[in-house]
Amino acid sequence: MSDAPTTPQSPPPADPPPVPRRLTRSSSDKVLAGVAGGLGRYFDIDPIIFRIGFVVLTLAGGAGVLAYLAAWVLVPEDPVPGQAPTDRSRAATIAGAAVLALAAIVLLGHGVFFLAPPLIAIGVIAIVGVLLWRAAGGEHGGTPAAKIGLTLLLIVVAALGFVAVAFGAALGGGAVIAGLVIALGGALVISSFLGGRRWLVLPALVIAIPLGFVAAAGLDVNGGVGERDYQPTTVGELKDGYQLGIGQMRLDLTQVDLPPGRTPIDLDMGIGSVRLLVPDDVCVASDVRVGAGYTRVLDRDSGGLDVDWRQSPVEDAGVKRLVIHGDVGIGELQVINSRSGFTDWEGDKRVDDAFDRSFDFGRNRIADLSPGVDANAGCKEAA
Amino acid sequence: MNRFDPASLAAGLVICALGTLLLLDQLEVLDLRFGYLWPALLGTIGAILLAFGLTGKRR
Repeated sequence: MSDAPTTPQSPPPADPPPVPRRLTRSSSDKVLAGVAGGLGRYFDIDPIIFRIGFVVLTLAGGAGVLAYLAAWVLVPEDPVPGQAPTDRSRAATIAGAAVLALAAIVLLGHGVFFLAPPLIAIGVIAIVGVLLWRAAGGEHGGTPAAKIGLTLLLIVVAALGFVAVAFGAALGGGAVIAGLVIALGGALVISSFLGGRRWLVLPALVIAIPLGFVAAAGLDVNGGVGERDYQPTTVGELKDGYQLGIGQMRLDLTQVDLPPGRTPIDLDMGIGSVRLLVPDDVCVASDVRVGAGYTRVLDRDSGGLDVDWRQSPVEDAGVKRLVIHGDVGIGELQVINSRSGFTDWEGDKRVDDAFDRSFDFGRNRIADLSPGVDANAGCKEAA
Repeated sequence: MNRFDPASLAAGLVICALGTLLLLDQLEVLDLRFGYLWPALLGTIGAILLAFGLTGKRR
């Protein structure tokens, strides 16, 4: 042991504890939101690589936009010294910008882009879920079980509200409900001068969204519920129109000897299936509107959202011409004769195959189901 | 004294516009289809979120 005095020395400065590397959006190297800049810094790669990747993915189907928006929302921005952490308003701003961008893409894209209604529906449901979660307390306040329970309760209440409003609108109360939406909007405007009542937004949307859905589908559930099977045998038994609210309707005209000339018939269905069997010697003209679903007229079909079908073949003089005006909210309308390949449509698998294709929402185009066969040959046969 | 809340004003105006669109459809002045409904709804929700986000805490 040495007795030599020791001079007090401050210990050498210790290395700062390693800071865990964290992915953040760059606030200094940014073109839009700093996503590529942050990725480049995190992986120590030139950010231009990521920017090119986003552009390429966008052009190759649109995934780049989706990935960028997701990163924008999910990855935090660089922290600013001396500034309090961001609160929910920032998230709402970003979410609002993203949803507006989505709206613009849907409006301008019209099927060109990668977006499809199911994807949008999932996004809307996710946004509503997040809003309800936050309304139930979010990350603060209450036990997790209580928050989940409250969120589920709000979802159930909102779902019941959706269904009630949808049926009310489909039964003919749409104008009143639309007026209620305007009234809620007006109440919000007035409340803005009194401090604001932002919660009014939720009931307004719960009312407006199902009403919009009913309006876009052209839903009308007047006319009853159930199954209808009509088999007139004479022209006198044939009605001008057939209507059903919800269910299945089958109309067999094969036993009717239609007179030469124009015979109009209206078919209205709210939600369900309409199947019309026509004689082979009849020339079929059709004007069909389907909000969401499928329509087939003889050997041509189409399906998806906003299906507008018009077929007005040129016929020889004196032929029997059946002019069908169909309006289906959600479901299908099929017009079949034996030339179109079906003698009994209930047992024919191809009908079901075709109906399955109606859920290809982006299709919305006419397909020829029987190439080379003129199923509407009645237009060329003199009576 | 009550403070003016611009977010409520913006949200109210947007909802009024959406309601008017729906009312015009119900009155058969126009024919609303899914192709226009989706962007209208998304635009409404987005504008509301944006207004609330830009004006800070909700009340």
